[in-house]
Amino acid sequence: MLRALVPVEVLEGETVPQGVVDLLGGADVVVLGYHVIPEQTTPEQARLSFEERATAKLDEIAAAFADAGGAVDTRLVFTHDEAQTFDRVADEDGFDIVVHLNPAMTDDDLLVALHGSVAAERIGSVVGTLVGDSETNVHLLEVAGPDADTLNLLDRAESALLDTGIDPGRLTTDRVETETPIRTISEAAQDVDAVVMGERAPNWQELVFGDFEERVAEASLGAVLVVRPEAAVEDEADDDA
Amino acid sequence: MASGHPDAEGTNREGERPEPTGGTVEAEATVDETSGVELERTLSLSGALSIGIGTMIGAGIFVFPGLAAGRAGPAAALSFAIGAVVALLVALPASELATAMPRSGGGYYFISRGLGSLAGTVVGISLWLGLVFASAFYLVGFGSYAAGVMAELGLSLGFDPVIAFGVVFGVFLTALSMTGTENAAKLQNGVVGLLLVILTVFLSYGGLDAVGVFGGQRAAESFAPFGTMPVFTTAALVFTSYLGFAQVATVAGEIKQPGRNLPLAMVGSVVIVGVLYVVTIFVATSAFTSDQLSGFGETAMVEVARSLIGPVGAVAILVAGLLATVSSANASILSSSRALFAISRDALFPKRAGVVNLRYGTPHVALLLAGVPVVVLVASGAVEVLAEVASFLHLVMYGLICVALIALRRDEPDWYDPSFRVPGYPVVPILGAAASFALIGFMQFLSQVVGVALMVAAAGWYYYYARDVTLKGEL
Repeated sequence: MLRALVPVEVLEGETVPQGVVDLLGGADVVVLGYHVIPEQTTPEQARLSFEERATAKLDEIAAAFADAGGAVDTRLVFTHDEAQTFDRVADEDGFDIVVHLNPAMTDDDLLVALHGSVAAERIGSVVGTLVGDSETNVHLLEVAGPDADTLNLLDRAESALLDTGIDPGRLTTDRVETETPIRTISEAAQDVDAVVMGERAPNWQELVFGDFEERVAEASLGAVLVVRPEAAVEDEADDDA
Repeated sequence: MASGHPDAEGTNREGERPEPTGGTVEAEATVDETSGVELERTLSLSGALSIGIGTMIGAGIFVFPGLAAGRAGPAAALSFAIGAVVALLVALPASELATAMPRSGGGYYFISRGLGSLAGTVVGISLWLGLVFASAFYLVGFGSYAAGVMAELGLSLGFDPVIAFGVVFGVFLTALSMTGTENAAKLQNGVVGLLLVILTVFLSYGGLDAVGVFGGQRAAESFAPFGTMPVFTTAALVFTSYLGFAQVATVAGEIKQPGRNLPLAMVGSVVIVGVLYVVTIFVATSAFTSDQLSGFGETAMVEVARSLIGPVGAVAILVAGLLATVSSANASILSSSRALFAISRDALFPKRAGVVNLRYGTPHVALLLAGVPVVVLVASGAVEVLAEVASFLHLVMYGLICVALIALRRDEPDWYDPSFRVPGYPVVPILGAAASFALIGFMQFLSQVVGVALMVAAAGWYYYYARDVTLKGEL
């Protein structure tokens, strides 16, 4: 089963839109309630003041996922640095998808934006497993830079996606060349409910929500789902061995 | 709840109990888990070093040189060196305890677990108030630099602006921390980096000049013109310049990989500032006689820079002094509020003091309990007494940290498993305790009276409020 991590800024009134709940219906979901505290405060101090309220909110969210028929777990973190927290949790538990929430979303249309050195097959198979037998339509979009012709992301993702057995009629593909990938993806995202992106190879940018994903998320209306590379899962297995 | 570790017991006057902590912490931990809730550790080594250095550097370099040279002559360099040795003798045992118990509250936490809740209450309250005194002292220093800037610009307010600037900035810093300013830590890191650059350039040039490379004139003076005794009383006075490593321990609960980073940050910050201080005094006393330096007062380094480098140097040191004293004061107010949180968590103080408000996410009560007395004390303007009382209250804690280490080592609880063990045990902690208590003996009478009175009051508070709370040996 796919494992999805859904960070929720739980004390800031953030909620999980029904569309995300439905989309992740078949996945093993961990709702990560987090609260970012200023440096004047210790995490322990914040816990003593806010734990009850945060737990109550988290339980509500978990109940929504459970109603949709998914397996759901919750975790609660108090942190000074949410990026560090997301990375740690995502690595610890070998998640396939990390979800960046945005306020509004249904689950009719999914844009899969392929850009840069991402694992296209992995993205294709994760998305295929995710949407499964649902009604969700998938738009594969290769966003190529001037020098990215050889990666052939689109074909690789498409064949991986079709291998999971989803109806080809739900699939559209497109390829654009651009020098401003963030703007292109964000514009394409206006017309869909959620965006799927691949986590880029961890060279200079190791964050789950790096600058790139963050900026797409800011410009989009729906959720941004980041597909994590498979290597992270294997590393995890090695660590456990 | 940690398996096998008894939790602290008893209730205070209001029926509050100590909060359980999460048991032992791994040396490489980047997160703690307390009753299922994860508490992220986000401070890196450089962040921790910046807290230590940032707290210390404001006083030792930008406030004390004139005062110290006026008391001890060029031998003030030796006073600073003595301070560094005492600080190291305590920083090593404190590092061991910090790796065994990397929790908010630092010295207070070690002592309450090693020696029990009476000593814990006295030290916890002393730490809170010691940081309040220290912060007030840094703000008076800030006022001196702000006044220096006014003088440099040829502005006159018709009254002595030192206290006024200090008070205004005390209020400002308290309000700023209550509203939960973002990026203050990043700013602090930047400030500390900038200060280290300015000082390294300035001290390298000044140091070369002082040994005659540029053929400058040395101020001819014997090493210890006022005798040996002032060297020690000055060491007691300037010890305020070494309080910052304990601040590192107060944020121990937020430091990543505490087993490695805590000892490095505590010992490293003392070594770095100790070297800078000694060189600073050497440069200062080479440029001017101790009489002249004493006459310059808190901003003596500005005149030293002016004579060595000219007006540019004077401006650079003025700016550096403003930044350094503010960063010291700010770091101390934050640590003070953490000390209050630590004692309120353990029910030695009303829990209300540690409450966090949802709007800003800051512990407003604790910050007010730190900030308000700071402002009142700044208004007193008594630089030397403020500095000495701050040192007094810290030195008591330092001495007791060493005693607590010995007590824990003699009868190690199951959970006691520090990843750093102090070299030279038991000599180092014994020397550390003896040196800490001895240094108190060299202070002014007034400072000793104020210090003792505060500690007696803290003990009275314990018997009134929290005598049923037991913390000894609990984790």
